[in-house]
Amino acid sequence: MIYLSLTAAVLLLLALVAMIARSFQTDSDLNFAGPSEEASSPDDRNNAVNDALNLEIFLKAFGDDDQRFVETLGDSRVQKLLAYERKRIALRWIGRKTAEARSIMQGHVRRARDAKDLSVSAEIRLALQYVELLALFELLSLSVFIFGPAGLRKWALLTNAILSDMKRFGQSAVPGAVVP
Amino acid sequence: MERKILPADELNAYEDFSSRTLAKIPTAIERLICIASTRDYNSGVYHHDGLASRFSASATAKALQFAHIEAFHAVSAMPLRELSDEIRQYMNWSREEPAAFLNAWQKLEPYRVAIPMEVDPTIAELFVSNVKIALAILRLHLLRQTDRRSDALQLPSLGPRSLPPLRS
Repeated sequence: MIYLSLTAAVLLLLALVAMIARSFQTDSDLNFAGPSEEASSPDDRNNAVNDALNLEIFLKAFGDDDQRFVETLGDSRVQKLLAYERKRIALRWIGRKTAEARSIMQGHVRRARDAKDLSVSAEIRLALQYVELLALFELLSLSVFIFGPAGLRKWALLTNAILSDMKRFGQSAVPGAVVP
Repeated sequence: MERKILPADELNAYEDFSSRTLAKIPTAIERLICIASTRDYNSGVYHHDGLASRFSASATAKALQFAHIEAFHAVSAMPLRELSDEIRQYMNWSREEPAAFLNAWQKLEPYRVAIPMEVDPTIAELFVSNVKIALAILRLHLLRQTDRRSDALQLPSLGPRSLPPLRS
């Protein structure tokens, strides 16, 4: 009985942490373009180049250089500020990527409704990728919220690769769809 | 972004602007502020009379927009050590009192005006966050400098003075 109570308590605690982590992911006032505009830009090559550059800049901020530099200053307030800011930015990035995955899936579902010859295996693959991605983002936001963004680099590259694959696959999986 | 993706007239305008104007500006943060100042606050359109006299207004605006995004990415990718050093140089160049400069930048956050409209929102947030941390670092340096100066200005201690003997 006591184990059951403990398990329930741990689950409730995790849900609470996830809720708090999600509150950090709300969009800021710096989102001028918005996710829908970004996703529907016509120049795909340009977007791909920009995505790669943005990811590179983003990941650079989570390297050791800044951390080491701030430690040499020997001021706990600046160290706390850096830790807080990096965590906040990481959680915002996860929130945006989750929204991007949802928007890709919604777009695919819209196109799939009008498709004449859907491939079941392709649909299953896309659905599994989507579930995997959402689960990874949830785990990642929990990990960043509790332990900080130290291990973010590896996971960010993995989730970004899955998201890019999903984007490509989601667009090509419905050949018979009437694209507006 | 790759320069190759710019059309020829915009690329020429960009190269002209880079070689005549940007090349003379020593730091990336100053280049960013300089380019951002060519953007109209109300319309978001870039203007530069000198460039527009040699190229079309549209090519000028596109070239400035491209240069702005490029400069913004350069500053956003900068390590904190370099960024705080660049802001310190800019602060010295402005000839403003360091305390007044830091107060204005920390309270009014004028650097937000330097963010281009067409950038990834995460990178825009990273830029604001990095500038905030760099300003906190500069504030720390300033406080330490002030402490050192006030310590140096204090008279050397002569130890507890002995009272003159009481006359009986």
